[in-house]
Amino acid sequence: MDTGAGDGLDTEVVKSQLLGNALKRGALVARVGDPGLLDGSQPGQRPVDLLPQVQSMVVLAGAAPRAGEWSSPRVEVMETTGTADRISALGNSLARTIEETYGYYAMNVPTTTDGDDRAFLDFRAAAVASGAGTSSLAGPVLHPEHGFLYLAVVLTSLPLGHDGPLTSGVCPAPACSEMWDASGTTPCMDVCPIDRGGCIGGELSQGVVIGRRFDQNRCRDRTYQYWVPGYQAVLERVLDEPDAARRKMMLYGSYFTRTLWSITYSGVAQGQCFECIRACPVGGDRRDLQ
Amino acid sequence: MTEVERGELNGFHVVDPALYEAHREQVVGLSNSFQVNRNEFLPEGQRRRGLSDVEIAERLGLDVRDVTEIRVVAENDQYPIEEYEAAARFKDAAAASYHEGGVRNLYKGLPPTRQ
Amino acid sequence: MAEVPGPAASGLVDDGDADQLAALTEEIRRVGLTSGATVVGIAPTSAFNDYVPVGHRPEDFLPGARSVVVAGTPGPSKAAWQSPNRRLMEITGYDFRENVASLVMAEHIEVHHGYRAIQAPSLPTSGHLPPLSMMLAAVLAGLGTRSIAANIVLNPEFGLLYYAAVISTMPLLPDRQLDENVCPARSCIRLYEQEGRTPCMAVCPATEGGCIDATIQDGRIASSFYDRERCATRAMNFGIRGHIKQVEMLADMDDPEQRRGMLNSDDFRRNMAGIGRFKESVAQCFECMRVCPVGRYRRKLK
Repeated sequence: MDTGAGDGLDTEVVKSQLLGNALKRGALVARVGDPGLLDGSQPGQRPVDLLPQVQSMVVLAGAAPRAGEWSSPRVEVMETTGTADRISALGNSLARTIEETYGYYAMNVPTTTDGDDRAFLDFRAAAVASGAGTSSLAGPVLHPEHGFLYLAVVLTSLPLGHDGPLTSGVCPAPACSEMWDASGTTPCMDVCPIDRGGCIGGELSQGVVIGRRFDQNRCRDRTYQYWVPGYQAVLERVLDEPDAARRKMMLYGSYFTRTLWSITYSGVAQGQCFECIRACPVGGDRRDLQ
Repeated sequence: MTEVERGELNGFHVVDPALYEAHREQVVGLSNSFQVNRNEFLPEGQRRRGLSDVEIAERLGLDVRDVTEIRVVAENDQYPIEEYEAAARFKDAAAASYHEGGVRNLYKGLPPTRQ
Repeated sequence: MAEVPGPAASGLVDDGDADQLAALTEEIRRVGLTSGATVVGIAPTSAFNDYVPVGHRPEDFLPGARSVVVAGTPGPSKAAWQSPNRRLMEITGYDFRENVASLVMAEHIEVHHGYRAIQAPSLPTSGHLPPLSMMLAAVLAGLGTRSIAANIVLNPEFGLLYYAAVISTMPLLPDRQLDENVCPARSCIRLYEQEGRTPCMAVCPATEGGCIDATIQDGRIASSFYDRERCATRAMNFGIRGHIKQVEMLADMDDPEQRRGMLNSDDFRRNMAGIGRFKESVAQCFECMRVCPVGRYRRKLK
């Protein structure tokens, strides 16, 4: 298909090359979504707010934690050896390739948050729009085959053919529907129940999620236990503590020290809770190694 | 693996300052802060290792969470902030001395880093 | 690339054909060497049990683990070593190639051989304590031996290397620990006999406000002492610990002008910068290694 810009590019061929290269370099999933599907996002967070000329959203997914990591009984393993950076690096490389090889604008959307802790873009919505997965009760987008994956989103003015959203939901998995019918809960709700100090709640009917409750603040405190929110929480206690010796015990103690180590190595130590996904059966057969 | 055997625990546990002062030296002495005879070629019996927080807690009859906090606080508390400033001066002098005269300079009276 | 002598195949592993095991081991080693590692060695998980307590052994992190594959790379570039500005080594010393090699090997093991593999957790999670010691892993994988200088593990060919590791359930042929201690080097033994100190002891003597002390008898380390906490004030000059102390001071200050002064000070800024870019500046003192002869010849370029 012609780009319409008179540059002689066949967009089908270009798309195939770009996505094929990404898959060769470590992405497990590479899809293109219609940025217009996110026009309903908050102003400032729509693709067109980031790149006015945007024509395509390239969504890369991959770099999931390894089978060994999921099976480790020590939470420090997944708390400190995160793999998300790999897919971010791939997004950067893809954006650079589009600009330098094809001459169209391309940006790898930052995965960090901006003011008010707001993301630059709803990555999950972008993944759903491109068909890289579907929403889940637990929160992360799940790919039907691979389950939980880290995401990179590249916005570009290069008009690539859009892959649509998937036509059927990944969550709940059949095993989860069975568990709901038998005991009124699912693996993710069971491990982190919102009504018993956890984050996740919901309701299924006939194999479909018909209601979802999610405590975002508690999830944030678990995911970022030893990261910036943990640092802030201790600092608040310290500043409220009138006794200098106790202030010292807090500041010099293991929790505050640990938040700083995590902050220094944010690339690998920012995400610190994976229990809902550890319990999730989607993609679980890929973790069955020796 | 029991919770205690999980390893050094990391909840927000604030050790009592008095307990810290009372046991700081013992905990530090058993930890990895000051490493004596660690080389793997030293004969067994002479070779030493630091103890884990669980081992220290068992030996001293303390709660493992208190041991963790005493150890970590003591690590940070061992030297004052002035030592960090002195560290910069040491490195400036040592690097400059080496660039000027190599290893030889280390054996000309006082090491240049002490001047 | 350093070749690490392997042990006799028989009697060390109880799985499969020894030749096949050797071939698989070399395959994994090659994956690491072509992914950025300068050296790759393999240690059996059981070897850790003699040296570290429960909670800090490979099997604590990956049940069923059989092998620890260790990757090592040099830190600062050779130009940085030669620069008269020592800060260059302290800010650009760490490019994580050994971590990249570990990640690639772990992925290779899982994807191509169906065994579980994780990157060994080495980030400190409890004060200064890492879950698993990379230094011990390097020693047990035959990549080096512990030295007088801060117990730094010295590779016989390259000297100071940075290490990362993979823990895996895959059975691999372990490498032999080195038979001889790399430290002290011959020149250091001579200097010790003449002057009573090796170069590293002379530049950073524990008896005079430094970190290192040792005795040598018959050319071997007879005893050693290392003050890790003083070393941390030098090797982590700007970063976490300095920041903690400054926050303590801020919390104790009542005068807002005084607080403002500290918050806007260059030292406060440098500690925050150190925290933000710690990956590039996790090691900020190299003075004992600067004077160490092991591997020094490799730093001489045109």
